[in-house]
Amino acid sequence: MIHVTQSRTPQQAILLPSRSLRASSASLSRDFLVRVAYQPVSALMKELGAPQVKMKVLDSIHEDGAKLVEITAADAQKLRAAQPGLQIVPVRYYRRAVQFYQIENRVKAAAGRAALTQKVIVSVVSRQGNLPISGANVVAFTDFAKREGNGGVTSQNGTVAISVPSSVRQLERLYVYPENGFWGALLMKVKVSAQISVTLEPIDLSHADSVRSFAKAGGSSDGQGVKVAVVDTGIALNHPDLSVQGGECTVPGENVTDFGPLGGDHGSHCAGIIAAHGTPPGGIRGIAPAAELYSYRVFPKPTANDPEPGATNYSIAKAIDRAAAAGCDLLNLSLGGGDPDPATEAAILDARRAGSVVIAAAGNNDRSPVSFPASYDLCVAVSALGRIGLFPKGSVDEGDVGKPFGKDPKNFIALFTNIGPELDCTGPGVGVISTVPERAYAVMSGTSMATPAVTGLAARLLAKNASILSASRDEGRADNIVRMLLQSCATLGFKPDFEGQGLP
Amino acid sequence: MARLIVRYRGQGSRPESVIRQIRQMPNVSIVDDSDRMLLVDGPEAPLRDLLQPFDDWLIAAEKKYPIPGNRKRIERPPSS
Repeated sequence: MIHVTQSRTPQQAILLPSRSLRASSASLSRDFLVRVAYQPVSALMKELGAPQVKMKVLDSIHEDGAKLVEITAADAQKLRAAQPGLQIVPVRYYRRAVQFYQIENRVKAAAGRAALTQKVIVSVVSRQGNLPISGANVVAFTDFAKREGNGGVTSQNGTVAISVPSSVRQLERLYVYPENGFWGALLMKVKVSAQISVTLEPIDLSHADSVRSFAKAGGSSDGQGVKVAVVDTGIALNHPDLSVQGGECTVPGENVTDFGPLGGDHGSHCAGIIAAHGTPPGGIRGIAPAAELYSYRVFPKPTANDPEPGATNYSIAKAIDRAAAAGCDLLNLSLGGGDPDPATEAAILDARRAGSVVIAAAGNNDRSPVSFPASYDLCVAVSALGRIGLFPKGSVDEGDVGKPFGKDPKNFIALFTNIGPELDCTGPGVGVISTVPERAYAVMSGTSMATPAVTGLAARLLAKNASILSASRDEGRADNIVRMLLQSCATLGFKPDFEGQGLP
Repeated sequence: MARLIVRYRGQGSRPESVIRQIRQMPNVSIVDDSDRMLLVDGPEAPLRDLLQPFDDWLIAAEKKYPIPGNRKRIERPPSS
């Protein structure tokens, strides 16, 4: 992994075709691999109309095969944008397998719990009419860095009782996450008392949130002719602002026609960012309202034993296969984590061969390296962007503000965003209003929201590019879609490890 | 035992002769059959031995990804 702090120092990397060690068919990538061995990379980049990079070719497996090169992380990102069909993989070093003997340190568990506790009643009400809000998730941190605290969900009367040790005088942070209809709240350094009252701001659907501010709500024909797959928890089928053209549930053992929101709200929120077609103040409008939405549900239905079931790599790979086979141009994957998975990589590669592009979320692990599958070179990886002033004072989104700030100091890359040289671009992902089941609206933040914002922007661009949209469905088409998207990006003044090529 | 994904990585349709051999293996049951993949329950070693002579097949362990979220979560109770 080319480390963030070393992004200016050239490091060794391997330039690979999309599959295997040698480019198997005529393509721009193959041509590049052949010519870079004997022509200056500056000349090749100039031919592509791409920004200049510095790269030294150290070795080659074959004329049209993998090249060992020296390149900085920043230049690797530029090269990847100009040649999306190439993989740029850092050189890895392996040690001999040796056996280490370690003495296990047994740490004794902290002696007992605090003998005395105090109950704090948290009351959550709406700013409009002081009405109680039920179903709000209240999270009280006594020590935020250690993630110590307690929480609960408000009942019908809008209250929840939270126990903390009697010695605690202050809650370091108090988060309130409503189900829908309201902005969340963040209170800092709250004095502990018998009752704490929190007031939530109702969502105004005509408010210009970060998606509407950075990407603009789409015109009625934006995205026309473009098919977009949302690989997620399913999409609400009866929401007045959403139209789902089809899809499939790829969870083994579940009904294939159950591609509604049975896995949760997340997929509907992503879908609305891409292609909601409502009109404020009664509804919301996404970035590409005329794009055709397809729902591929990969998260299982929750059960009593497993209230938050995860999606398997099998379901995800199958959804990618089915979406590509159905002719979806763009596949939105606001999910991931953990180590690379060969089955998902193979599905993403096969989708590219069918002319489809996967756009994936970088992940929300507080500046950790970019998660898989976004980290896979053949995915478009998206970080989350925010802007101060687009969310109410006292909202949870204030907790996501931090350095670095952009050329415009109100712009920031969200503190929760994963970062690294794998990033391709950034999108609005803080305080985003969108659709949730069945007919409601909610505010969410995450690279999950930034990714459909970029997907929507890609759909908007693709709809206006008839030659790419109507091209035969092959790897060249996919490369051209990615190139079109990344060449449309403008930097907002962040380093590439935070914004990739910038905002499309 | 974790389930296994068996996937054909080559161009064109998957060779059904290989699928038939997998179906006939003892102690292997097919949980799901997709266009280019099988999800199977069974021991990994015999599957690897079967697929080793063939190009363009991979075997991967099934794994899970959580529903993404950005909400802050409690990880331990408050200490005094």
